[in-house]
Amino acid sequence: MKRWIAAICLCLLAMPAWAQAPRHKVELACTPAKTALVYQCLVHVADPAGKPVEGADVTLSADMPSMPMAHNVKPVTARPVADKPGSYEAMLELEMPGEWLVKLQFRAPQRDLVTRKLDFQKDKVTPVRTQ
Amino acid sequence: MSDFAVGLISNIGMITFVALSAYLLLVSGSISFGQQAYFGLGAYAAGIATTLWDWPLALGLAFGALTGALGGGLVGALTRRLHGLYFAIATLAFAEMTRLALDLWRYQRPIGGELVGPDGPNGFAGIRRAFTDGWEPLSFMILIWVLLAGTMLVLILFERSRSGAALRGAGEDPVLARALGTDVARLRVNTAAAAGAIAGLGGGLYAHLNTYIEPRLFDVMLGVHALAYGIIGGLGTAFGPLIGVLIDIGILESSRLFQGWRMVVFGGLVALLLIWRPRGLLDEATVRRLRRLFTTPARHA
Repeated sequence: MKRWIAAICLCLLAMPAWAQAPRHKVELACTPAKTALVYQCLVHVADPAGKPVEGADVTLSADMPSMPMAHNVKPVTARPVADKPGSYEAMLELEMPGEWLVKLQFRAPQRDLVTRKLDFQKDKVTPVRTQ
Repeated sequence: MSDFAVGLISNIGMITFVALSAYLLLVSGSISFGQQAYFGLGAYAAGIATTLWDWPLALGLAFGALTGALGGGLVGALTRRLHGLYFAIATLAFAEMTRLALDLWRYQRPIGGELVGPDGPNGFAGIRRAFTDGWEPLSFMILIWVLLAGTMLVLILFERSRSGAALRGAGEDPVLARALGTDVARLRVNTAAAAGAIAGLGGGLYAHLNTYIEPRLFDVMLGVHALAYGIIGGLGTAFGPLIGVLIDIGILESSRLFQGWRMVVFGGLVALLLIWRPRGLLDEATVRRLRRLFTTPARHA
């Protein structure tokens, strides 16, 4: 019995990470909207060859690294932008200016989770780091 | 269930781990401002185990808890003779030391054509084990709460045991506890290790839910909140920290009742409670009263 348990543990340890299809390229850019603390976010999705991806189902949410788990931003689903293949937009409402970690949850055409850190200020939004 | 509700309930669960960790030390008579360090150590350890070493999620989370326990035990052993303000300062110093060390630490490996692993202040992105294993936000939320319920059950059973009584006794009067034969120093080291393990487990869950962590996540703000949740909820039962989190995150934050004034209201609430109920809403006396209320008195002939 002990040998079986040891064998299972070894198999689990040696198990390789899940094989995945090549990930899509994702770009995120946000700009302040007219309402305070509301930001218009534009997501551009392309396949590994650079071809725009249409029909993506993506939801944006955010967490503040300086106070993790304490701010709960309402997730928003991005809508396709007319005449811009591969582009999707969403209005993200934050609680305060500052650095936020934006999470992009893709449900279609492939499951993925992408994070981007942006510095949201009243008049501009700048990327902090590209992951 | 909406994405917002799933995110909110997951966050309440994860932050309760840090609050429970601070609570356990409060019960033992120690005020720690450094439980965020073990949350961070657990997050980094679990992330490294599953992402860089390819361990399964369960083993990664266990490794995170173990790392938190080792950190907590080490600090507990080094500070076992310290009390009050000195202990609080020592824990804060260790937490800041850990955060600054993580700021300088780089340990990356190429995975899928990208460098993955802790990258100093740039953080640690790509902790995707839970995601690639097929965990959805809803199922991961259930995992968080199952582990939290298990942790709370263990704590409640421990509190009802002889060791739990000894811990409370040592927290209230260490001199008397020592006179009654309790090895207070050893008890405090073990408690610090257990508190570190609880925070480490929460950290591992946080890292896998968000797929990204950085040293700044684990600064003193998180530790102060964890402590405040224990004080608000009460030190009479392990449900206390959960109640503290529910009041702050579940009611004040999610309802947007006070908008940008929430932190001011939260600070005021802590100050008021410290005056009105120094040991929180569910303090020991209230818990005893509640137990009497819900326990059927034995009939005597």
